[in-house]
Amino acid sequence: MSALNWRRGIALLALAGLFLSTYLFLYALGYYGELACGAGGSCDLVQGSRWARFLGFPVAGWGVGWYVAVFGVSMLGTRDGIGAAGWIPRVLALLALGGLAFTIYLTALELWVIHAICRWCVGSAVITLGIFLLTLPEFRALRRSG
Amino acid sequence: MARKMAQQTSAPARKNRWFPIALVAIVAVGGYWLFVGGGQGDSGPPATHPDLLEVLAEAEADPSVGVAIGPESAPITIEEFYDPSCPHCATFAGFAGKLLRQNYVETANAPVRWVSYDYMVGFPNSVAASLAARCAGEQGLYWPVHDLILSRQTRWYQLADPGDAIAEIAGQAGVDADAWNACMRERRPLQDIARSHQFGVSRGVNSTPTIFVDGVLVNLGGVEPYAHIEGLIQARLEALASGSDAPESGEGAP
Repeated sequence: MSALNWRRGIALLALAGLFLSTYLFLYALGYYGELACGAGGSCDLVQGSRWARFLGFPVAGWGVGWYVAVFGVSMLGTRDGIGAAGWIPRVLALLALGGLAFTIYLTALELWVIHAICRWCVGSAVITLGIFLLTLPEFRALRRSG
Repeated sequence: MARKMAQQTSAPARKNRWFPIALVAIVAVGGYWLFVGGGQGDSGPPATHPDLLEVLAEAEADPSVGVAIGPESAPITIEEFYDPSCPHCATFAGFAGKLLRQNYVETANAPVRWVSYDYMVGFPNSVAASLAARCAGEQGLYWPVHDLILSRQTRWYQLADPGDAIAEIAGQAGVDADAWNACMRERRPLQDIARSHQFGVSRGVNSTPTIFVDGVLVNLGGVEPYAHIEGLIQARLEALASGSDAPESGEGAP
């Protein structure tokens, strides 16, 4: 796969993640969902927990911001001219690393603290991991460029 | 790599038709998914806790295991299926449930009898909490513990071992600790919880809280629960007063 296609892959994953996190964000704000806990009860448990907010803001909202940033930077990275800018691999690598770290933190909370797994959160974690893996060439590029 | 990437990002001709198509496809699928609300209501049968599974297979639906409050002669019966760990049940109990009971159940000549049923959605600590309320019920303290369990849900529902937190709540409600602990150790009400759950299954319950007003399912989607249920009570009272006491059909699936 060409280096350009890695970035396209990142953009596509980020776009999918954006929809997923938007759904969770709207759910957190009360636009979705009814007054009911069903088979998706684990999501209710996770979303209703005190860890569903980070710095006073719904975690899903941070997710929306992160996916927008990753999507935006990766799309710029596919454009003529600006795509060759040196800051793009740096920012992508930083975003991917930060996203992965936060995802590991959230998944650990679900597994060992909340004792509940929300399938949508797992979906977002898989997407974040995918973005990180697709960003590995950017890390290599950074290492080579010193 | 960086040079390679730079060369590729500045190449004039790109055979990348798949990329805009993929973008549009994701936008279309994602947009539709957001529009329909993420596929809610397509969740399949609920999970149940391992403790309950031990006895669930043998348990039969039994409406008599519901815990009632309010006069037996009340013209209207509200049945509530709840899971003590369900955040929405706590929200419902803290406002709508509390006010409805205050205004229609715990008054002189109360028009409503309220019956509480356990329905285990599958949260890990629910069985312990339901046992706690029912064990308190052996001492006539079901409702105080039921209410405290829900109002203090965040203190116990995510703990690996909720035993101490639940015991503290029961103590605050005034249970006799020795008798209550014995009941909890023996898990005496477990069969009743299983029968209650099966009764819910037989009624088509698959989420909590689920409310029936005189046997008619209340759809709590997109409504303010107190005002909505109060309206149903008033309509039912008017219907009873006018002699047309056949309840209306259900409002929708739970």
